[in-house]
Amino acid sequence: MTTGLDRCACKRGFFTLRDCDRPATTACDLCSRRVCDEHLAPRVQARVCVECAARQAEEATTPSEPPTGAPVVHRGGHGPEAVVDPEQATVRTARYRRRYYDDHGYEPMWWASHDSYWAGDGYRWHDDDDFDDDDGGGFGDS
Amino acid sequence: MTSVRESLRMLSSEHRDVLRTKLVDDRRPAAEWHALLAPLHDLDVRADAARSRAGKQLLWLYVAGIALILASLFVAPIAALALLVLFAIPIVALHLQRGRLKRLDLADAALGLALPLLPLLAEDAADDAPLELALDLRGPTVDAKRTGEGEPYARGAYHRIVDTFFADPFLHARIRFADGAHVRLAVVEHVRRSRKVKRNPRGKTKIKVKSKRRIQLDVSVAFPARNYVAVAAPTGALPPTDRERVTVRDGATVVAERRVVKSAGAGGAIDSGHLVDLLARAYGRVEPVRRKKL
Ligand SMILES: [Zn+2]
Ligand SMILES: [Zn+2]
Repeated sequence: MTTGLDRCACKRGFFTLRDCDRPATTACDLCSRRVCDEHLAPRVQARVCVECAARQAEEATTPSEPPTGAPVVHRGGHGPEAVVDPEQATVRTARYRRRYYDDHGYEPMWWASHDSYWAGDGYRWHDDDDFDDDDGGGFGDS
Repeated sequence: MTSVRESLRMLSSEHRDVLRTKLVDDRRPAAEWHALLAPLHDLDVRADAARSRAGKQLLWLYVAGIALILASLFVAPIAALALLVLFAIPIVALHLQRGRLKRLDLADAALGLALPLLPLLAEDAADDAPLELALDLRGPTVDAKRTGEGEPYARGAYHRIVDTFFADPFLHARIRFADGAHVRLAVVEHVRRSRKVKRNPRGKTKIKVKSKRRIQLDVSVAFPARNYVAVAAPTGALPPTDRERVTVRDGATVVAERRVVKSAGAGGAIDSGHLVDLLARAYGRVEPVRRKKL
């Protein structure tokens, strides 16, 4: 990285995406990006970021895998489940985000630095030569 | 009932205030809202379950009590009296318990819509922006929400139908997102409760009460012109909304989206996915006008 700072590569947001920017503490076993504690999925044997966990879960999903633990608030719809344990909020939201994007073709606004991890996904950003990316960082190979 | 008591004991004085007034109106970070609302939702789920359990037990006690008392009347009237007392005690106790649980009841729709959305709103919220949230958890058919009563009319077998109307604006929320968008959510439940009277062929009067609900969900997003511009056609294949309005004014593009959901009954849970769709549709009507890291 140009800045030399070790920042989390996961994206915050649902309707728009931006860099997490918290200090990274570890690397994801699957995508090998550096991530912070909050964006690490709660797993025992592996270190997997919440975005990889969400992709894995969606790939494995047909209508299986009912949500564990928390009571489901909505009935038979497509809204997110109520998260009762706040520790689960980030991983659950990442999972719901992935599913929502895939099911509805929603393309979030991209307000983050370049990340090849998201290259296969549709998102919207302003394509212009004289962009004013604040620190200009994050466009190299990560 | 024990699990309800346990849940009650764990509640803070702030939680108890909400249980008493059934009204919430405050501003705090989205993640902190969770700490207030999740235990209340948990308690409500338990109280609802306990109330329906008590209802089933009451039904059994009535059926068994009446049968046994009638049977014992033929054998020994004194035994019937003893049985009457024996059954009356748990029946009265269960009725009291149901009354207590009923007073704890919170409207499913408001909590069920707000709670799942909190983590989503927290994701997009600007770092320093609180969520302004007003919830009315009293349910749609309390007296204060009655808006009127229609003239009696007849239809089909019913010779007298009287409609009572209720309007319940139970959720209102405002938050500023990290991209500078100002988001407003508002949900109103309209209920028409019809009291229908008919006479069956033997001349007996039958009364039926039926409710229909129409829930209007509104989302409005003001997108700052420094980041966004309106586009003609929405992108993606998002679920449609019932009304969409785009207003371009000085400094902002305001997109208003509405969906109306109809069903039978009153006050039940509503899928929070409707509000997600409305927000996604609103974001479909704009495009970024500059490249910037937020
Ligand atoms: Zn990963
Ligand atoms: Zn992070």
